[in-house]
Amino acid sequence: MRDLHPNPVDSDALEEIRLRLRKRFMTSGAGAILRRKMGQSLDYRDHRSYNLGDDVRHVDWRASARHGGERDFLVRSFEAEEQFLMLVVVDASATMRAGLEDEGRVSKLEVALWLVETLSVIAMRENIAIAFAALDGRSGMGRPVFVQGGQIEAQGLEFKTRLLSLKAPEPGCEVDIAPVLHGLKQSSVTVLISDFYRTGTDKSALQEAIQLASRGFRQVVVCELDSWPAERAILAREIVSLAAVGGIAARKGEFQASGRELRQADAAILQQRQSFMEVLHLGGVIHFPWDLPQEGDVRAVADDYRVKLNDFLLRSELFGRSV
Amino acid sequence: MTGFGLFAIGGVSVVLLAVIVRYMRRSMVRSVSISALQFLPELASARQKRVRWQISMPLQSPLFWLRLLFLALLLAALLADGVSIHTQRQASLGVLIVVDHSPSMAMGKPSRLQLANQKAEDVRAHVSALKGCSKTIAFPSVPIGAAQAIARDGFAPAMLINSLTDSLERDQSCDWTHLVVISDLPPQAMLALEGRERTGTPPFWFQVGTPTSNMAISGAHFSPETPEGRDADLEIELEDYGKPSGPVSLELYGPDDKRLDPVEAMDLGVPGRKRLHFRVSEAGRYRALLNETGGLAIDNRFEITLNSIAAMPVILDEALSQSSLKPLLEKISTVHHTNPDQMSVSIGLFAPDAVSVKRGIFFLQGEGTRSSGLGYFDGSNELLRSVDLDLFEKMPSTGLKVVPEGFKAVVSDADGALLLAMREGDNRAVLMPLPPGGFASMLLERANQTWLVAFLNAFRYVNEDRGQITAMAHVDDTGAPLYDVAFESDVAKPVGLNPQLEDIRPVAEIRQESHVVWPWLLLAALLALGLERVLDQPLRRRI
Repeated sequence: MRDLHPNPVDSDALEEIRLRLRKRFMTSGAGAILRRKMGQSLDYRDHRSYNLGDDVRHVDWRASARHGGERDFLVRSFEAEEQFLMLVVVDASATMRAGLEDEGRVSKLEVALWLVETLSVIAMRENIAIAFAALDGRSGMGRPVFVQGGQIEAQGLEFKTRLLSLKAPEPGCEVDIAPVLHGLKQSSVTVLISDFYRTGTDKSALQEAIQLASRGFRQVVVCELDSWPAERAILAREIVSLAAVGGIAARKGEFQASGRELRQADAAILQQRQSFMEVLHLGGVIHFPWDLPQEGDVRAVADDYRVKLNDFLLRSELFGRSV
Repeated sequence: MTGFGLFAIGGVSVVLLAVIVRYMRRSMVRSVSISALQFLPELASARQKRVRWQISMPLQSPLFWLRLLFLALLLAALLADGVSIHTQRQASLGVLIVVDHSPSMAMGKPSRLQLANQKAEDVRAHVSALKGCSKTIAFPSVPIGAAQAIARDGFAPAMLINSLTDSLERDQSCDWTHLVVISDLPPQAMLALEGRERTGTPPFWFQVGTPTSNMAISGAHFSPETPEGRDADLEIELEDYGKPSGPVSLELYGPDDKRLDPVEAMDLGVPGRKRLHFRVSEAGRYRALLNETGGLAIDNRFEITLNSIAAMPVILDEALSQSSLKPLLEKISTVHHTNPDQMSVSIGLFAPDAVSVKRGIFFLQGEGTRSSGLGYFDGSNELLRSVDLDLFEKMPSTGLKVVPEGFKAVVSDADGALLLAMREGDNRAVLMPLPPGGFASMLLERANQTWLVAFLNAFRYVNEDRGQITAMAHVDDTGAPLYDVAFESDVAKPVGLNPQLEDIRPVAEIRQESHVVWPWLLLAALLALGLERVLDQPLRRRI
């Protein structure tokens, strides 16, 4: 395999972004950032309908009489604060790896690793506990472990090495990711980086995992990487032979896609993306579509990364909530 | 050109053509992995041309040139079947000067050694003027720091050659082109050094000194006493070189330090070789001293050690006295068969019992009080070449399995059969099995006579008598033996014609060397191939 392209955002630029974010966001003060979740404390959050098993002492009789129906009781819910634990989950599917062997291209997995590296540096400087997980049952990394401070760099490097050492599955073989998703630890924030090209049981498992991660007012940031614009440009411009991508076998022959064929592909990809929209638009889920530039070469992707990283960190509200 | 060469050229040409075509053909098809492959519909096949030919394309690729270099080197390695390289070496001058330090170099005033050292200085100055290098060594070597010292012993020319060969090979301080020998000896044959790779010219031999008269003891000869009554005789041989400058006398002292007189007085001033005879009567060390004035002194003392005085005669038994064994024994020993009373050794049938007689075992038996030797073998006797105890092992046994009483086994074969047995004591005797074909055949066939020689020598061996003279050497005044003195005695040699110093001049050695080149070419080809492999991926990406 070729060497990975270096992260386009150097240390100085990243520090500048981090400081800008601190000014932009209100945080709870110095030290570790605390995150809210639903729990037991004296901090009232809101009212919600009574569910079986709720403590009857939390029923707000006055509010229920005023706003609730005949059988609909309202209970008070409270907030609790917990330590900020960030779990970064990277989809290691074959589609994410596509282009990894091509010197002139930047694969989605490479962009994901740039992002992992960036988040690691910020977490280290903000003293946030972070853990890494790969959506691939063969990673051999076990359950992710949250680390802090100086351990983050070593953990991130090991994660990257293991991720790259995995080979794409042979055509006709699939890797079940459900066990990995069920083994993920609860965290304050879960950052999921994927292209959402998974289908079948993997797709269902992924949707379920996003729902689970967002429960209890926990935050889920979904970064959807999309390289189709760049790949579409290649197909429209050049004569290609199509290599296998993971379980999808190579196509025999040499092709040059017509406009009609590309439009058919546009529609199919759009349909795939929309099938995830239901879970991506749940409360507590921040969806960030990250379209790689049409040019697809290293410089264009790097320039695009520098711009989109800023947007991603702002929209993901990873380090606080906007005023 | 050989058939193999044509085949190699053909093979490399085909590969070269394939490489060129490979580079001119530029594929327009890009192999790509599309992550959205599963969402692509069935695509129509490309209708455009998928290959583009570009003639100049190979020239732009460093990989092409590397592969071309590899093929060219490979072809050269295949065709290089040994290359002769004529090497013209730069003119050089390296002179190894050998100065004779043997005892005879002390003669004269100034001494020959002083003259030799002066000559060596002249040679060194001459070589320095020609910007060459030189080195002076002494032979025989004397202790460091004793340049004027004289070696104790003389030297033989063969020693000189060995020493010079060793010096030339070991001493790498200079590229030796010439050898210079300075000695009082006339030029010696140095064939062993001529034609050597590093010395293109024969040695330059400078002879120093003037002729000096000298007389020397050159050797001794001993004749044992015989049964007929002839006394033992010791002959001292004198050699003269030039006319003696003064009176000369010879003294001989016996084991008891008593001076012996010669049988016949002789005028030692007469020119030519002289032999003086002395009657000796007992074994032991004899010392000869030659008195002369002006000659070389180290050849004037001589010591002879006699092991025995008498020779042991061989007496043939009556049964064998008429056989063909008699003339053979007469050639190698003193044979008597007339007076049995004076027998010292008899050859006859060994008959301790009837069985042995039947088997025909022979033996020699020593008798008498002075049975210390069995004959005296003349040095020119060809049968002496066969004298070796190893012969015993080659002789087949005839089945003597039991050692007779009084004897002890000396040599047996692998089967335990007796090959040699001996009896010690007053009646010393040797037993050997019958030779192949029987005793009669031994006497008739010359090849089997070695059996007899072995038999006789076995007897001498068991009697601890291998010869009368056990030591004979020149000695110094302390009695320590001197070596190679014989080469020193002739100090009266005329001074020969010395070479001219101007003949010693730098030489340009031209050597034709055959180098095996193909392994180096093959190595270079492999290096080019390795470099091409290393650069292949990075350059391919850039292209």
